[in-house]
Amino acid sequence: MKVNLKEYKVLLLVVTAIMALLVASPALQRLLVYPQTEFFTEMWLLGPEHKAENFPSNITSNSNYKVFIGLGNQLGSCAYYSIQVKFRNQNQPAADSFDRTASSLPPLYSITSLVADKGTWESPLSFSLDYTYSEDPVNATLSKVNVNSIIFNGDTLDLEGFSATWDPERRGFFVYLFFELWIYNDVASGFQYHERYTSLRFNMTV
Amino acid sequence: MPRSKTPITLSIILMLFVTVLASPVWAEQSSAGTAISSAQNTILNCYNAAKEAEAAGANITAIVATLNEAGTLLSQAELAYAANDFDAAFNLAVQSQNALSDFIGEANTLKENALQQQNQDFLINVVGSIIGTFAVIVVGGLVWLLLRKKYETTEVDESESEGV
Repeated sequence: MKVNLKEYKVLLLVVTAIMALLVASPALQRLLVYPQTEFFTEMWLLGPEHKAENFPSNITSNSNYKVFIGLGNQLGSCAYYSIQVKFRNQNQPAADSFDRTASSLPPLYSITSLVADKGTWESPLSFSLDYTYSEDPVNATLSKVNVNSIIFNGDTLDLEGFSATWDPERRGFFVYLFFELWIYNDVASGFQYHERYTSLRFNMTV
Repeated sequence: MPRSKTPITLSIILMLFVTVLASPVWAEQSSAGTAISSAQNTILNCYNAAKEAEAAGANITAIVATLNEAGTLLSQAELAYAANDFDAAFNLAVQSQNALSDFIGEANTLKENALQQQNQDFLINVVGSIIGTFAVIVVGGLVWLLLRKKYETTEVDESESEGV
């Protein structure tokens, strides 16, 4: 019987190539990994049921509220974050989304967190506000709200002298609790604003 | 003359009295400030150790939780300091530092293990894989030579038998 060597040659080449590729795959895997091109940090705020709904908005004095704040690190290496908790009324400066600047207000509280690369971090935040109304004696109407303190994660933060006036457009006494994200910069040896913030607006009801 | 000296003497006594009363507060404030500053440095050193371990390929999830606990304690210490509760600020800052007492050692162990693992992976996955690939190609070549030899022998046998 005559053996056709050409048929064997093709078969052998294919089998050898497939086996070589299989054996080489661990080494190829290292070479063919697509480099990460986008580096960013995620920041989120969730409501009391751990969903993006039912955020506290119409609040009452000394009632407890709960939200969740979280971070996701996609920066390519672990990062050391600081969430600066700030509180303002409608006349005080907020963080600016367009200019990407932080609010000039001092933080009431700061939460630091180290997040591994591609890792996430989440923390519950509980708070309550202690406030009283001032009445206008002439018109017998409520003229402003004096916020005495805020209890944040069990710590009482004194806010003496802080007040909010009536907002005629939105018809309420509004204050804002906002969370600015700062990140530790190794070169500057300090935290710098990471151009992200999220906030809650409260209508302080009777 | 003695009359004019009385207010000065009284002032000196008052100043001494105030100094003696206030000095423990200043000392507490200073200790708390130093403890907070020291805790901040410790956290930064631990952060750098964690970063190096992660860069070496270690999974730092477990040690990150410890660092975050220490960070929370430090935040509370800073808050207590701002509220002039220096005693609490000092205690919290010390607790924060104590929480990280083994951190750098653990991070370095993770880093060393990760480097060892990385070397082992490199040997198996890269060097082993490359050697394996060459071996497959060589075996393929040998099989080809063997087949060709067998084919040539068969052809010669057939031609010889046809000739006979």
